[in-house]
Amino acid sequence: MRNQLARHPREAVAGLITLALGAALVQYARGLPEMPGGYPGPGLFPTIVGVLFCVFGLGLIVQAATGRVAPMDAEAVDHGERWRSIANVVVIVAAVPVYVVLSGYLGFVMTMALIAFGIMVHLGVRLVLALPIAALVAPAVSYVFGTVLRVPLPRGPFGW
Amino acid sequence: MLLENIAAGFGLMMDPALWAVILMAGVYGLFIGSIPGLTATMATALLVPFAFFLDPLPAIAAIVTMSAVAIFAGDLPGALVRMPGTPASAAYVEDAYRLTQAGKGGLVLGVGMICSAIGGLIGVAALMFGAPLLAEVALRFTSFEYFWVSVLGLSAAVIISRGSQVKGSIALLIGLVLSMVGIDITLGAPRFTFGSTDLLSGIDFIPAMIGLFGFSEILRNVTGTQLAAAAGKLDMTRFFRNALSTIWRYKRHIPRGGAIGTGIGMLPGAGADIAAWVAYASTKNTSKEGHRFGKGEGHIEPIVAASSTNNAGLASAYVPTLVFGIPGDTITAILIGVLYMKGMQPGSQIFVEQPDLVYAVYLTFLVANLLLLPLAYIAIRSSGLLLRIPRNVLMSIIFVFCVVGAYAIRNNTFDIWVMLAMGLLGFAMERNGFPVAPVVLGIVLGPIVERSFMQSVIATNWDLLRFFTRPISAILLVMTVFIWALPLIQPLLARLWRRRRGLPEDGETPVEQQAGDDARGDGAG
Repeated sequence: MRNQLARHPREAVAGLITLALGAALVQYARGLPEMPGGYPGPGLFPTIVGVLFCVFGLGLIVQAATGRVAPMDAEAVDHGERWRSIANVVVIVAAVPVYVVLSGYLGFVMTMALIAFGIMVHLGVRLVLALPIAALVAPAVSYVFGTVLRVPLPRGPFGW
Repeated sequence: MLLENIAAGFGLMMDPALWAVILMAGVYGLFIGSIPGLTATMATALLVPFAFFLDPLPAIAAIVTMSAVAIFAGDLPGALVRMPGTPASAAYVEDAYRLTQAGKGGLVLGVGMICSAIGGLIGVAALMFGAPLLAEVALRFTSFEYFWVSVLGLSAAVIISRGSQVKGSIALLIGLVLSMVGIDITLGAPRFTFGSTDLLSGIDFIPAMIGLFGFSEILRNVTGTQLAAAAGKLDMTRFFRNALSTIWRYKRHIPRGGAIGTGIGMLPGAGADIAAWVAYASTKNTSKEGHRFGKGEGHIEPIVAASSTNNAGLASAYVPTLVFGIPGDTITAILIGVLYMKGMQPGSQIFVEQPDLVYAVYLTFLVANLLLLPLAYIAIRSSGLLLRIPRNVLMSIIFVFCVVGAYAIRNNTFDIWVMLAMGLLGFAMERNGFPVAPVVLGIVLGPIVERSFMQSVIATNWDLLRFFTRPISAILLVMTVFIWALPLIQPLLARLWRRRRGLPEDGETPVEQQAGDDARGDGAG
């Protein structure tokens, strides 16, 4: 049984996280007010969901322990590719806070053009392709959302 | 009365702007559907920021047309590079690819295209005749019945899916927790807001969808392996003649596929992709040539069945959506979210109050499935081109749309953070084999379950027996129990069927057939 758990560490960890989440939910729900007359109120559904979280978390752990784990998609194989994948995720995720901060100063069009260009270059798109696409997409999106749909996109020093 | 409504529906359709929306949505669906890794659900999530600014009818029309076309377009990369464009095409991708390798790619796509349109029309017929009948019943629904319908939806989302049902359940629970964030409906107590004023109004649905289905797909795409299989060549000679004669040969599968798609699609919570798997497995179980499916040169028979099934399922998923306001799949779940935000309440009342809108939606479906044919033909002819679009360029463009789309609904930077958090959640779930589709069903159904339950018990002073003794409640309860029992009885049924037909007993059972190899089953594809 221990061997099985060692073979599926991800499953066991996912089970533990689920279990902990369930316990936290139940605990949190106890702090919510009751209905007049002592009937369950806002805390009822969080409690039910929390208990179910615990049940299915245990289920995951049991499945991992008995080796009844459904096979998953084969993921990236060699080591170099793995680091590349992690770098890609970091770049894409980091681009969001970068946008939020920069767009306050540079405005939507310039910030998005820069970010789209940066992402493309990072992902290995050739410069001759990345440059015109970034320069085209950002103003086009700005026109559709900002002008046609009247979304107040962040404005930069030149008013766009 | 009926004719009047149809005429009124036609009247609503006479708007040229509506037709422009339909055409654009069709082209968009074609584009997203034909790119492997981009699902119809993601296309819907990215379409929503636009749909939000449209009137209800064009918004629904855009989503309907886009998804109908995208589900067919998913067959294209399946046949050409062995990667299903949407999960709804995953069931028969092996046969499609092998046939293409054997020089029959034109036939595969021709059959897929025509069967998709026919299947779609079967689904529309079910919608047109089934929905009004059910609406009559639904008008008598009280909060007790709504409680059971939503529980039925939650159950179907987990049980009738592929991959691990434990993980599907956990995904559903995550959605339920997310739906509880904000002001509680009974006492107005803030829940899971942790002192944040931004969270008081709850997690906004649209940024959450964009994160779960858009942003997470970007992350998945930049970490996955690139296209490995070589693109097959298409032989387009006698395209229509070959396709039609093949369909004629296997015509018995079309009504069956249509029925499977309609049945599963109508169930709240289960959609087109799982319907396609069930149709594939049932064709395999009943065909004399079933042992040749997915092997050697592949076989066209399951493609006839399953490609009509997934489009039928797509249309009939609108039955519970329109009648009960309970989503039939992920796409309709997103649509319901949009309608709520626009202040419209989908449900049986619209059959009484806005019958013209209902008929216009039917007509939109007819148009979408007919428009599918020319659009699909163009796509098949230019499929080589579609597959050569550099994926990394696309990812950065989708990134731009994710950020802007999340922001656009409430002009709120907080929603961009919600989108990012949900994107990471979806990505982490998928990496660990948790399906994402149940999360959205949990988010949409959570408040309905809770509201209908609390309303019922408060009105009856906690008389819980009423949940079981009301006649319609009891029927819905039996259906729910049946769904929970399905994993136990279904292998038995399959074995009995094979024995009766005198077929070998090696056939796998439908739902579990390839459980796990594609854990990212996506309510609708």
